[in-house]
Amino acid sequence: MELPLYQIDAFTDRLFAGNPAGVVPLKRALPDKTLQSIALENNLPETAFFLPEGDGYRLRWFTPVVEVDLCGHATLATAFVIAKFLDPSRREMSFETRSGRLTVRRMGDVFVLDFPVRSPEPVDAAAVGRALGRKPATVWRSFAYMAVFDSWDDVAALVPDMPAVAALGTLGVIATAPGRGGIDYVSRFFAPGAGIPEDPATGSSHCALMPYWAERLGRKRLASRQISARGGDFECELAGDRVRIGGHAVCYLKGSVTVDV
Amino acid sequence: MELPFYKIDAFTSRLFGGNPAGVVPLERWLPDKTLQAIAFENNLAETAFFLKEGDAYRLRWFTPTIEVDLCGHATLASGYVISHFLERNVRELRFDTMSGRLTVTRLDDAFVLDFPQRPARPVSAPAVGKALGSEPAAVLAAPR
Repeated sequence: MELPLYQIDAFTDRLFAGNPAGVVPLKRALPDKTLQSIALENNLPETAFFLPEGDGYRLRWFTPVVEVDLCGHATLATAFVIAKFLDPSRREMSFETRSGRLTVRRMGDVFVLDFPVRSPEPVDAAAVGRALGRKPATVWRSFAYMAVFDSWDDVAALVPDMPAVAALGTLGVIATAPGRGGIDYVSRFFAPGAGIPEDPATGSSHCALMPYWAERLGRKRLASRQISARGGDFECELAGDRVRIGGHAVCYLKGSVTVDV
Repeated sequence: MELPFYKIDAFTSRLFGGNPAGVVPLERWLPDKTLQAIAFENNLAETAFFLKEGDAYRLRWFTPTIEVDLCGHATLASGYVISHFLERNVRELRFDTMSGRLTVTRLDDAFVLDFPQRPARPVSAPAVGKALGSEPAAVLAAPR
């Protein structure tokens, strides 16, 4: 059986940047084992599989080894594939997922994810600074630790002790600092415990970053850059208990895979 | 610009087994930087790029971070792509590479690589056993 496969660079408008995701539109549900095998073969951070359901879609995300509950960049990549190749007239898409219903709105070339806020709480965690190899100004905790540094250069220069980061016991560590030149804040995301030493562009990190930076900067709309090697760009808005995370996407590969089912 | 791309599982007859290789047939050489960026994006052990040159193919292999001077599975994968999709049922293929001329012969569904020998000689390298966590009976090294 032949399935379409797209590889999309999300949260960037430049090829070879952002965060790559596999996207596979399905016509019917396939065995989990087949989906997992395709994700392993793709060897991308996540491969998304989706099926039409009602007036929206059922969406699932797989890393090379497990199915995950939530993935921002593969959701953006899926919305991009629908808008670009399958249903260009659609402005708003809703996805039923393990994390409930997620919606994506298309505004020109920008795709905006509507995700829940996950406000961080201040914590006293000296181990975070030790694992990162540099002491942050403050440490917060949400679904991951969030280490706030004083300068962009501090975050750019981090060379974390990955086994120590993995031992911290959260999904990972977000390192962040004020931006400059039209960028309000920068970040990096380390999740070696989840098999991702450094994630190139992490949509969901803004669920924790936005409540912090919106309060500190006194504005609800902020531009952000993830300063990983590949880089990622985000336009975010805090709206009550939701965070709107906007970004571009680029198509790298469009083709098909052949599997036995 | 659109390039064809194949992903082949080599040294296996089962999908999702073997060693995956990217294979990109070219019509002209592209900048090394582009080839490396494609290999990085593919995130496979190796991506092979080749171009027809006379009665042979010029073949190069890239890991996600560097160009390498010899790769078996991506050569087999390139032979598979040519024989299945580009020059159907061709029986013998010649590749010019950083390791000289390599040939691939197709025998029914099997592909046979003809590679140079690199004879290995015994060496004293206790670090090898330490790194593997178990002392081997002998350690040999082949010249590069």
